[in-house]
Amino acid sequence: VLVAKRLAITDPPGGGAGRSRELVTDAAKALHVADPVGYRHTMNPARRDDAETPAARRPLIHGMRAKLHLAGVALLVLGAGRAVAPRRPAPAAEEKVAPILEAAVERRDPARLFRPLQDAGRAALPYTVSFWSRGHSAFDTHPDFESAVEERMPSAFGVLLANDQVITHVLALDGRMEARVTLADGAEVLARVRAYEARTGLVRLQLTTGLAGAPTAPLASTRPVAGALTVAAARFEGRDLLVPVFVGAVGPDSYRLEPVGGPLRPGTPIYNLDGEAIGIAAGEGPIAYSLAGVLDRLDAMAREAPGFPRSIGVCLQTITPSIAKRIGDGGVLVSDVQEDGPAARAGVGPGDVVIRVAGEPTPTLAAARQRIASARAGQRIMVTVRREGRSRELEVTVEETLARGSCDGAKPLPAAALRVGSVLTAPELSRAGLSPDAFVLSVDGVSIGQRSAQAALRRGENARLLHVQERTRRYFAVVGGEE
Amino acid sequence: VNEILSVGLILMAALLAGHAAQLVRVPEVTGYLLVGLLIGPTALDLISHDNLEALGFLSEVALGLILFSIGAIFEASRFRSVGPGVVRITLFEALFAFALVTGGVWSVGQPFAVALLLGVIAMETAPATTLMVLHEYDARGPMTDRLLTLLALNNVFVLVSFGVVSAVLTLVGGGEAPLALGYRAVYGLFWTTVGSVALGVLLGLCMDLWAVRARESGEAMILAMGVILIAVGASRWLALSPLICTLSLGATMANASRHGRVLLEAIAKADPPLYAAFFVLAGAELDVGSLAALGVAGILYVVLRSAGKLAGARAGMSGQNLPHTVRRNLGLCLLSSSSLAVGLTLQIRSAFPAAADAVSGIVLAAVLVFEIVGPLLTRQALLRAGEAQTTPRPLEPMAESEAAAAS
Repeated sequence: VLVAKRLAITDPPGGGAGRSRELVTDAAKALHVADPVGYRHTMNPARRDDAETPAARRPLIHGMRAKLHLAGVALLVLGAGRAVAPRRPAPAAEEKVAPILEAAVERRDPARLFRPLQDAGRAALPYTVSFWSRGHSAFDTHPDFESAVEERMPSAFGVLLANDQVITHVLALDGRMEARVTLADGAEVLARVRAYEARTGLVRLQLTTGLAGAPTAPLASTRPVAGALTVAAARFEGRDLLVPVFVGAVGPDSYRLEPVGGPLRPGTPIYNLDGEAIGIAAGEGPIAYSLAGVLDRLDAMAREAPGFPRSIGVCLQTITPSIAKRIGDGGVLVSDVQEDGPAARAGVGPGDVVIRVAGEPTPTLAAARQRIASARAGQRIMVTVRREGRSRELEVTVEETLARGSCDGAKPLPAAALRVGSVLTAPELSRAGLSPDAFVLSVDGVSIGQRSAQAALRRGENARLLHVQERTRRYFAVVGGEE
Repeated sequence: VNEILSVGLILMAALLAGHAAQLVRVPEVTGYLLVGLLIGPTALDLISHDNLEALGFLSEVALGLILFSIGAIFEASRFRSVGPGVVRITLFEALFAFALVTGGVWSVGQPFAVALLLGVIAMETAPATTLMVLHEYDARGPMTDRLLTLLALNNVFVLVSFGVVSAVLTLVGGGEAPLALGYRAVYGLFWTTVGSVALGVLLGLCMDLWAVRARESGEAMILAMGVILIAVGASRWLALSPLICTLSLGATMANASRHGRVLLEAIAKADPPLYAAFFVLAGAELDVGSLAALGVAGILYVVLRSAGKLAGARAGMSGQNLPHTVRRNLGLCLLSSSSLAVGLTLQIRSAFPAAADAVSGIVLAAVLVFEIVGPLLTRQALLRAGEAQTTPRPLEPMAESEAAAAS
């Protein structure tokens, strides 16, 4: 068997192979040896012809002419087939929805498929700068985070573009016109606001010290489609923060975002999977603004060097009838003041009723805002406020500022603030226009602790004026007292 | 486990499994499949889903080679002798299975689209598994001859029927202007069949052109592998059917070239590891968990498909002058079901997503049953028909004598 097998394997030319294989097969059969030639593992029909077929059989199709004709027909079929192929219907929008997620579900291994997202995000980290900000996200204003909020922390972000520009959202700035920007490598640079678009809230800052060779973010040339997966990339408290973000809807200037796992901080840049910046998260609501259109407008504004909105650093609130019963009307209520802002320096505080600005009465919010906006920067104007029934005139300097974020920044809550939802019932809350997550700052103008606030709210027969903080917003509301 | 290591593990596992299978006297294919199941994601997870994904191309290439080999069976003179009778058997066994499964599954309340698609998939007989068993036992004889031709015809018939059924379902599904829809449906059918055949013929003729120069077996192997890979890849690129394309490539080689045998011999030297990997991968892709989802419709599918195939083969053979051994045993060889069925469910997933879950649930579970049972029945049929040439015995005596010779 072995000899015959060797013969078979060496396969001598000239037809010896067939004969030797037969020998091997016969011998093997006699000895009960399976597959001596080693064909068992192939599926080749060729060997069946070994014995019976003469090697040079004339094939069915022979001759160059016939073959050329056949090839021509085949080519024609293929060409014609391609030519008359029906146009595929345009893929419906939903087919583009989250292709990576779809693939991940089908292939059952998301980790592998989200790698492009991680790579893009990690590559984009050097472009993301951070701001020391009070932070504006809901969780920062929770009492548990109080200590963190008290020290400002790099909790708002922006993106570094060419020519030492930084784009961020106005909420990141706490109303400041100058801010220290922390670059990805830890260096701190002072930056000044150069342009601000009130509609989108995007701000362009210019670094005061030029950066040579710092990596700047490339800008995406195309807009993402709805359903595209993008990534928010930032460094937060020494950790890399990469958040998968689905683009939910695309508007002319904005995207609706669906970040995976909670709200994004103000100014967080959004990158596509090629690592190009496409937008800036607003940090209030699931909105990001597209960088593409806004950049040109910000550039134009920076060239024209316009003034910025005027402000005296107050947040105002309309006096509703129920509030009017407690404090009277004829003006607008100061719900909050910008810390160290002009109004605060002049002695205006929450709870004051502004009745005149620069001598003109201000019965409505619009009137008050218009009065302030029409003043010049640096002008000193008289603001008449009514406090506890007496009116007083205060001299306030009008400043150029970023109107938003001037006083609605997160502020520390008193150590043991009371959540109104824990005391008041749902009908009481809705009557007062309060969210259950509002925290009580004061009752009837008196700052009180949790226990006494609780007691005060429970005595429901009298109407009480509450000053509350809900997320980043402070306002007044009246509870109780209905007969 | 990275891909290269997983291929190594697969081949080693196949080696052990092949040996073990011979010891317990089951076909090696069964051993490969079971060891695949063992090292696959279902059990040991040595080969993960990721690996399967990455190695999917191996299976595709192997299937291309298999169908190329089957295509070579369509050599005109050989086909003339057994062809017409086998065409009849094929039509009967396939249509019986189709009718029984479609009717049965429909009658237990499945949607008509699901029933129709299951019917088409039920028609399929696994070419690779069956061929592997035939070769393992070195089967020769009247039944083997018919079985080989039947396998080729069956697969062509299934692919064409699948085209027809998808065209019908596309038309019924609506959603577009009827004319455009009709055109798209008919075009799809035309393109996957005629187009695939044309590509296979074209590549076959190109292959023949060069085969004159490929005298060395190494060269021939390069040529054959290259053209087969191009056939599989180009048909994917042109949205043609790789299966029909490689089949027609093989048939073209057999009928238009004097060098077909050289090329077939050449690739025969390269393909054993590929086939071993193919079956181990097929085993690893079997999902034991899917058995739980079999349900009434699934059990009906398994029973009716088997009944349809057996009865259909019988009916197809009646009136033909066939040996008793063929008549009694051919039907048993038709029960294997494998990669083509799974491949069709993938196509269904993209073309008819509404029916996909029901269909693939049943098919995946049924494939698990038929992949294990099919080869065993084929082996039994071969033994009963007396067409197994090699006594299925362990290789031990050979190994010992070789060891002795070496020392």
